[in-house]
Amino acid sequence: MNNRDSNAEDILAQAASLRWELGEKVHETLMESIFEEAAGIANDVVSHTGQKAKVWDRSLDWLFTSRLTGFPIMFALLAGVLWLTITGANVPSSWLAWVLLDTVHPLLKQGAAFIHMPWWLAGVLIDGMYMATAWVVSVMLPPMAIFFPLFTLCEDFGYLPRVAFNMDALFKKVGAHGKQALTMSMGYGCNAAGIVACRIIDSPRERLIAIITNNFAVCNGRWPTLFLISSIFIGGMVSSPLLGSLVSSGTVLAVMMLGVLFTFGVSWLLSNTMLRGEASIYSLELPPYRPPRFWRTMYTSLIDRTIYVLWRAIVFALPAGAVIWLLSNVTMGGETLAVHIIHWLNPFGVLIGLNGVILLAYIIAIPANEIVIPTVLMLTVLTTGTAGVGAGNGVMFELSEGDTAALLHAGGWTLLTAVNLLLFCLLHNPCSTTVFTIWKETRNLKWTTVAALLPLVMGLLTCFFVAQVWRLVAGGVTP
Amino acid sequence: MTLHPGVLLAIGAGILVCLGLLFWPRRGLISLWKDLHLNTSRTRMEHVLKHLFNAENLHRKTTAKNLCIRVGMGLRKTQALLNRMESNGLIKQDDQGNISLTDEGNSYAIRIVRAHRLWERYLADETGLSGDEWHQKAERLEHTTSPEQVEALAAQLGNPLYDPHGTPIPTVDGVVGPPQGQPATSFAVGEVIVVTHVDKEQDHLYSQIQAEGIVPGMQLRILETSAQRIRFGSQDNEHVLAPVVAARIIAMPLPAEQIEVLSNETLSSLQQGETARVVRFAPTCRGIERRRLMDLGILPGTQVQVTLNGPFGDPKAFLVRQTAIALRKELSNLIFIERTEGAS
Amino acid sequence: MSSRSCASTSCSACPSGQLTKLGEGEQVWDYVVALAGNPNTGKSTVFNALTGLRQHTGNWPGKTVVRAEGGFAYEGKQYQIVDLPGTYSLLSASPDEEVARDFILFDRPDVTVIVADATRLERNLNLVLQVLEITDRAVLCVNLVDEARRHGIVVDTQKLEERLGIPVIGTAARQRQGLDQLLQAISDVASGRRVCHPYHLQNEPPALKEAIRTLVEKIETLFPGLPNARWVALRILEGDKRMIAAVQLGEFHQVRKQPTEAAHE
Repeated sequence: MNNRDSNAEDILAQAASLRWELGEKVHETLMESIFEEAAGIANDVVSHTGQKAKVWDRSLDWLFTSRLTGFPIMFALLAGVLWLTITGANVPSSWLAWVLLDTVHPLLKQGAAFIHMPWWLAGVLIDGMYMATAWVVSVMLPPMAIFFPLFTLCEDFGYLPRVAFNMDALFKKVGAHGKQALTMSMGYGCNAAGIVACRIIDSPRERLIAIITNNFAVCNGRWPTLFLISSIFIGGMVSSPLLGSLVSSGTVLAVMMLGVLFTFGVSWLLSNTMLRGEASIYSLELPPYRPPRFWRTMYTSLIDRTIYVLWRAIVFALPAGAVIWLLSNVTMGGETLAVHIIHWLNPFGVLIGLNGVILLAYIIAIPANEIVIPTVLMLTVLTTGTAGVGAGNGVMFELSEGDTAALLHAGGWTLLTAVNLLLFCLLHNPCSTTVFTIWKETRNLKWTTVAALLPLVMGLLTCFFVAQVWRLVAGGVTP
Repeated sequence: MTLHPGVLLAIGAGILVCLGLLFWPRRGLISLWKDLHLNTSRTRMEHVLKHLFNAENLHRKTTAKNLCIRVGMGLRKTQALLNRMESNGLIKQDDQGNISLTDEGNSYAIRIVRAHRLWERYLADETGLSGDEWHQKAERLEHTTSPEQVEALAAQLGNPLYDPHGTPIPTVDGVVGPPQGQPATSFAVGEVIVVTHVDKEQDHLYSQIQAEGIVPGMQLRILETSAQRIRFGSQDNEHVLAPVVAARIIAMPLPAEQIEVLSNETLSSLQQGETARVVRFAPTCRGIERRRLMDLGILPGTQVQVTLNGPFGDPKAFLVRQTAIALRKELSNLIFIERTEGAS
Repeated sequence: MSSRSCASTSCSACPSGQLTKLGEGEQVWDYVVALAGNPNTGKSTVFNALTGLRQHTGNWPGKTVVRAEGGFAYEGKQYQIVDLPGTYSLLSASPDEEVARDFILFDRPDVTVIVADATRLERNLNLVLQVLEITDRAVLCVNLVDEARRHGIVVDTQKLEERLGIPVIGTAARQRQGLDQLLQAISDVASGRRVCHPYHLQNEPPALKEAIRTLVEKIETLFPGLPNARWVALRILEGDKRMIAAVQLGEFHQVRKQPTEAAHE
């Protein structure tokens, strides 16, 4: 043993002195000689016969990256994917809602009554947990199942690296990586998936920037809120329905664009302050085009991404359902807990141009943003005491647009509330699935906290200032 | 809701400004307070040790008078500090006021110097900070890093031998490797040298060298030497320095077979379809950047061809060993090339 | 037609004739196979084809960050297969490379399959040569031969096999071509029926070569039977802390962890 130790030390000492002699070029010269020998062997065994496929690759490259055609193709594809997702998801979404919410839920309730399950247990399990989970599935599954396979097809074909290549000049200006264009686009599907995708960014600083700003891409769990609120409050201001729908889609688009602006602004801010010292390197491999295998990709993508992300959403949504039900059914001093919390939150909510109901809904919906609207409706009924609407305390429900509008107006909502809700929908803390994903990807408490709180603080500030300016302009009207 | 929105607006803006004042990086109150806090007596003592160590390596004598300028304290305070250090057994003072390190002081100093140079190396190789920030930052970090952390840092960096200025980093056992090369003043006209080290002990001289953009790894041709000035030619520039300043540049003669690669064209100047051979990396391309390039197969001797111009002209895609790799201008500016006839 | 004399009913059209995919799960393994390769060479496709798992494969570098594990049975033996992160090299310091390097070095898989892209062989051989410095139990899988053919590129696998001294199999994993031969080669190397004499680097600069030679001599006397003394010498010359510690402790072989344990690291 002793002999070995002294020998080992001897070797290391010799290595150390040899290192001083060789200098620090060892790595470089070694790499050079390895590549040289590799080239020698490759020359021996590889023979070229023709180059017809290269021409095809080159012209595709030109088509996708030239100034003339590159950007139109890119935006057309993105718009196409989003349109397919939104319109395509409608049918399966309402079908799922019909099955899970309108058919299975009453059946479960009947079953519970049949076996004389105590009302509170049935409430927590069926009205709370089952409802929330079913809601998340029906809202989230269809768009995810359409969006991600489409995205994966583009990826397998080799188109996405070209997008990163095109967009790089823009992202470089704010200290970010061109691949952030892709992780951002994925964020429109699901922020958690977008954050996992940040792995493709191999430069440490740019990767963190992409992770932290991904939340500014409105994920499909938040789309329903945007669509509903802008159509009731903004589109509803215009008398003609056609013009109204144009105005409300314009509003949704404006919110999305605002998100893009925030992405660039915050990226710039981060790269010049907190992340200034992080290392930054840029290289991007442009792989050859490969014909995607349609069915296989569809299948893999469905299994790999959707089911996975969904499963996690369900894991997070189940407890949220229980919390919702309990808050609106446990009473204290004659009022439910929810009402107490809403009264307590309301002054602050009104200060920033929202209200207590919205704030509580966003707190409960931390696990899954899909349930914001049904929770808001349920809580509004609870606080206003509107009779004949809804399905009972703690049971989420949905109404027609007209009824929703009436209920919200009864709840004291104004145009300011709607505008600020749109802003807050864009700017608030990521859902818990996303936060958890950020933690898993960065393994760093500091960056996870920053990513979770930064958008929330920005949202609260934005709402606060918008509210004050709005009230100033409107002549000090207090809601 | 009795407050007027205008008042609320003012309060909100006020709070924002206050938070900004507190937390602004490097200029906010909190970071200023941190700086102040760092300036403890231990820090000052460690500075003294470091200066003594450097002076002894250059066989220069040090007195309390030289030191007080360096440490930025009054003579009386400096003397008090030195007396305290002497009683702690870190230094010795002789009758003429010359100060020298004891063995204990020497090993303490080596620890600080090692931490400083390793940090500089780390900041240069693994972060995005610019050259003027390495030294300042290392100057702070050296005092707050425990010996274990220093060793972990060394391991992470692969036990580097030199700091980014080309100065050898002392080993744990206090061995200081040979400085490579000799002062630039000792070469003859016409010789081509490669800078290995820039001495930054004397700030005013160092800043002149820095202003000329002379860094380790750079190749220079001696154009003129006289008692008044020394003229160097580099790729695209001429540098004139006083001999005192030039003596701070340590360099080695360049082997004849490497001289021909004094090309001044970089990869970024290559246009669509043109081909070239990489000849070397700029010295400022270091650390992760350099490793990444080599991993991608971009090394001296490699054939490259521009295959694709981005819609904004940057980045450009280069065909390297049958693969298209996009690089930004910042990086392709650091790769020197020699044009070759297109063999596509 | 497949001329290999593998046992019983082998037919080249159905490579899964004797292949049982085991996916993930608790198993006792006869052999451990590591899968290394550059990013974007179809490494994950090969992994999926062998294990029946469906790890996502993207036409994009950097997909597999953590290593994935699966298994298969072939000719009555149980193989565990570990998909290492795709790397360009094993000599740098990135975390991915460390995972790959440490696994080949310290876990000593019975066979290391290197997946290379036939259309970009030169670039891929860089990694192959590095792996061959670490282990001599390796198989080279030249994947994407179909794509190469489309691009008018033909790789002479026979000649490559002679040059490298390890089995070289041309495959098109997406079409499941060549998998049968690949499995046969893996089993040959794993069982020791085929002994490899891999190519080693020859053209290092003289000073480096000399330094390596000096150290290798000493390392081999201290640790007789160490298969990769040259690599150890190289790494300590580059100041690799992990390797220095290994020399100090005399531990070059890590006790193999249970797959589940290893996956959580």
